[in-house]
Amino acid sequence: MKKMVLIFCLFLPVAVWGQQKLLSRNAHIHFISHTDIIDIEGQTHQAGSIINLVNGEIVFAVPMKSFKFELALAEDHFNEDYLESEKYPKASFAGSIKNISEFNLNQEGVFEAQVEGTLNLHGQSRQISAKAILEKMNEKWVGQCTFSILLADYNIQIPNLVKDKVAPVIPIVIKAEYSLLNK
Amino acid sequence: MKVCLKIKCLVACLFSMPLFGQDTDSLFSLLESEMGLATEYTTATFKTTRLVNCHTVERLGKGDLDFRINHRFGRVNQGVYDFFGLDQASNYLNLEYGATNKMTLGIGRANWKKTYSGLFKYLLFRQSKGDRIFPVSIALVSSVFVQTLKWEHPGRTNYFWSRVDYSHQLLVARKLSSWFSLQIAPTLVHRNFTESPDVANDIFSVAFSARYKITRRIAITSEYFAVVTKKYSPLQNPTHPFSLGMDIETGGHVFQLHFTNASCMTENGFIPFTTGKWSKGDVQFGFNISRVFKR
Repeated sequence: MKKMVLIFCLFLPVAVWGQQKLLSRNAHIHFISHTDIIDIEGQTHQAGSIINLVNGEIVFAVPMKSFKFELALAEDHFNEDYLESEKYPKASFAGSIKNISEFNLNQEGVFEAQVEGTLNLHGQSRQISAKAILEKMNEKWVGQCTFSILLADYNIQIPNLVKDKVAPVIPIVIKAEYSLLNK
Repeated sequence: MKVCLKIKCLVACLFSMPLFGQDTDSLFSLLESEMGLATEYTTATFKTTRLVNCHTVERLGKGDLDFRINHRFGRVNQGVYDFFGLDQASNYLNLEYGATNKMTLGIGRANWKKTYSGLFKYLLFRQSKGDRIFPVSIALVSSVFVQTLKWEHPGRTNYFWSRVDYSHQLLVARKLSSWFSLQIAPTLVHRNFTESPDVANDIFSVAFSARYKITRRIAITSEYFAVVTKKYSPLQNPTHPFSLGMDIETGGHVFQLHFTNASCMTENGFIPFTTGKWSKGDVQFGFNISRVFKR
């Protein structure tokens, strides 16, 4: 009997917490470089993300070549000249929801999450922190977050010739719909 | 005894902690296995839709409008009197439109024989890796040329169809690395009118094109048309077109500067009517400028 309790105890945490991960396979990431001369917008629906509801850990992985642009030439420039997508095929974010203990994501509702972590882009890692909105509705979780990056921080150089056409600070909007990962 | 059991349970729980205490690395590997492989299409095999004279597998996006100015000066070995060929000039203007992400339509006008041209280009396959693997990009390009120069052949009837030539190419390209791309293009030029019966109407050739990037925005290019057909030209000693160039990209523009032994820029011109010999310095300086607009 004692042994059975022990064995039960051993597997209990796995059984309970093993369910507590959220997965998004097609998170949407949108960015815009706004200047007086030209707005360049890129977006992808192929970013992936997992949230561990137990400890608030959150990761994102984004294939750089999945970004699409209005102008096909902008896509070439993005991959070839600025982000060097063949050398750095993925951008990633690894961080955590700092205030995960303040709310219960198993209940329906809207939560304001404080996300902090490391963004790895173009081979450079930088700490970022941002506020995100997490909303639970009908077994789906929708996360939304807006933050800005400074291109110079990530060693993305803009030649003098196009300095007026590419903004140095790029606002990024993320929208991800999560569902429970059954593993 | 009960306390003992509780302690044992606690210890068991503690030991099982690592099982659910995920660090972000394992979250990433979990994410990777959940996401599976995506197809990654190759981009920017070449900088633009032409290398020098030859088409490339590059496409225009849907709704993109590409205005191309192609310009060749005279031969550099004419010396300082003609300012190394810069006193003479020929041009070919193109307006090309991305009807879909795979189909490009275009019109053009070359001053050589006052030629008007129409272009149809279709991207059949894109080089890709990941989920769907395909080793090369393949595109089909067909052009029609109409010469409007005053009739030059007294004794021959001036039919409209005698002024029409065609060119068809199957472009097969592979981006071997982020720096180096190669293209092989079987080419058929059909001339409705030939100057004499022994000159072939159908000219088969194979175009070899290469691009080597020396910086992120500058590339060295070269192209060579190996003509297979015998007696493909009415001229005495025709030569095969060979060009060496440089692509310089500056945001919305691509500048292509080159030296070539071909003075014509349309396939019905530079394939049968090139006579310049590189060994004798019969080359001309030229440039293409491409400017892409969004509708």
